[in-house]
Amino acid sequence: MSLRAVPEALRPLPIRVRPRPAETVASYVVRLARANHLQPSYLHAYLCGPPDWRGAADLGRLAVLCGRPLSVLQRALTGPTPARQPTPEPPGGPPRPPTPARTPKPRHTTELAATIRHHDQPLEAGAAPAIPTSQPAPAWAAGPTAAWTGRTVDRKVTSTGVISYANTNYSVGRPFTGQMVQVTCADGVVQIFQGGQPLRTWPRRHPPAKEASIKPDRSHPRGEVALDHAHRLAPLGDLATDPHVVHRLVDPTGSVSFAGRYYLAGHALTGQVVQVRCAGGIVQVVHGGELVRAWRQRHTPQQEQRMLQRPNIQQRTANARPLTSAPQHQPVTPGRP
Amino acid sequence: MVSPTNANPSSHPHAAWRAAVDGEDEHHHLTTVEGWRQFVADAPRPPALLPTSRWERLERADRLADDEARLDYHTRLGVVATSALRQVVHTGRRLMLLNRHAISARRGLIVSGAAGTGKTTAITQLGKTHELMDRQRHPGGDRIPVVYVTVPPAATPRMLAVEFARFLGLPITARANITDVIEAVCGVCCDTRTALVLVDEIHNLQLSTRNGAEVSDTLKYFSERIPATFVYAGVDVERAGLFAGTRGQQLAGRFGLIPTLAFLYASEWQGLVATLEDALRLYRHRPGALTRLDRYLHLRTGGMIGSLSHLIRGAAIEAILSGSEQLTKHSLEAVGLDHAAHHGPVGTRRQPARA
Repeated sequence: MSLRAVPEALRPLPIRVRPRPAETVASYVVRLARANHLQPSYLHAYLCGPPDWRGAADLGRLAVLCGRPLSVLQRALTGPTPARQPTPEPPGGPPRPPTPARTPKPRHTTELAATIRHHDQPLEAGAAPAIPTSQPAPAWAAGPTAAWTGRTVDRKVTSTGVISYANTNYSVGRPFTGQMVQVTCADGVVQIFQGGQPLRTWPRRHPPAKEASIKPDRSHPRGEVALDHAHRLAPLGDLATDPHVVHRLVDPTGSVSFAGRYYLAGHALTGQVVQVRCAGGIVQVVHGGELVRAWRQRHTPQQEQRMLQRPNIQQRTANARPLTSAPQHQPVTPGRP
Repeated sequence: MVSPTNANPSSHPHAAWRAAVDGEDEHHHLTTVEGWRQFVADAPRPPALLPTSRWERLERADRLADDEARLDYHTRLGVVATSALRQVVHTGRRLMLLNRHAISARRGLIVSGAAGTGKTTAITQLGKTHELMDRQRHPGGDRIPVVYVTVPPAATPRMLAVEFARFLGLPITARANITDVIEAVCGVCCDTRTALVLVDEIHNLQLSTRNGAEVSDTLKYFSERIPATFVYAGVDVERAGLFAGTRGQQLAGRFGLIPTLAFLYASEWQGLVATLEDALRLYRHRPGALTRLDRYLHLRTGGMIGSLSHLIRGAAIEAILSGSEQLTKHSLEAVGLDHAAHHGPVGTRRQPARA
């Protein structure tokens, strides 16, 4: 028997299942299948019908199998459904009065997520590039715990343009990806700054109890040091005269080798030549006269001494050895052993 | 798109035949739950005969409607409670009571006999009786107390499982394997409280073949999974080899056998003919005319109740269509019967008198 054979007449399933209000078609099909001891995927394929037996379930076939009128299913079930058949108008009879308009509710998870995403609105826009505004944020009721912590922490903007503060993500903007910003929370408002300039202001979404466990340098894994802190420890004014500065070529992974250790310079600098030095226990990566990264020292002073003996830049990669002259081949003289 | 319908027979006889004619395109078989329920709910009432003087003055349209109603009635003519039928119903009911709390090794029943001796009628009446009693105890349409299937010829285990699924209304496509079908059938039967499973045409099961053995094993598996009493019916199952081999011995050890035989020319046969005559609705039929022909009827049908019913119903229909409105020996001889009735065992052959 082939799937493409003439389909037999549809018959109601032996066990009926009542649809729940606002239930999706998929959920109802699963419940109907399990009640009749069928595989949900099998029943779904049967509801799709020939010739492909795939796609969206046909409400007409579902109405026959569940033994309920099509209009009842159209009224009860929600979710992705095929094009609904227009319900015939009653022959004669007064038309129904129009139902009052209701606020549409998001049906799909994506719509619900988009609604949540647009729930927050920056109360003030700083010196940031133009970013599409969102819907107004709801009025937050300031509770007794909405105290001002008065603590500013540094956060690094991720690749998606958000920073994490008290286990809650707050948007800064993709143009600030990779940059350090300062975050503080006061009176139920989260403020994001950069260089003293306000960037974003968001209503607090995190529980106030989590603010006590905020670490100032949480966004600095692997020993990365904040740039301003590195500036204070080792100013760049004497960079040109510092004999401990070496040039390094950033490898394809965005790292440079310094004293036997790899320090991340940034993927944006791949193939670029940067200046690296270690001062005050901090390894500074400088490009174009500007400090781009600062890391806590992970190498030993002995390794640094050995490195300084060979400070020249590598030709190809961080571990490339200098090219040597090719061996000369002796010509073969006939008759000579 | 097919929309399921369930035509309920109306109580008025004239409306009943109209509903029957209108529903000819949607013939429900006993092998579907809708057809079975229609069979259980079917209770045709004999149409009332009008006074002869009024009947003779009927208009053409009214005469036609009255004839159609009586034609539809005579095509059914009801079921006569013979001794074999009463024995099957009684034994089946007792077995179902005995199996009520059985965990496994439930007892079953086999109805065996020659063709036309009323085997299918007996087991279907048993199922109808049980279902009507179950509906009285448990009103509502969610239960399937009786399952009726027939063993297809050259059956395989999957074919048998598909028969069960087809009765229940479970969708079966080429994707469904036998395991899924059996699981669905057993699950639905358990959930819908199936207590009686009727398996007809069991003589199609050949235990000597591999497929037949597997079908027998599948039936055994169903009997273990479904807490129901299994009743088989088939033509001369003993001679068909149903009790042969290991599987046959297991069947013989758990299933009782009720044979259905041809009626001897005795009081029961005379009572049977009288009962069928009382059910006739012909305006000019003389009461007792058929009972005086009981010996002729026995010689003509060989004592087979199936042939007798066919003979009387055919003659009654012919009497209505011809307008004679009565059964005579001449009208009975004009009705052709099955080959077995014409060419029975040597010494019992009955040849209809040539017209």
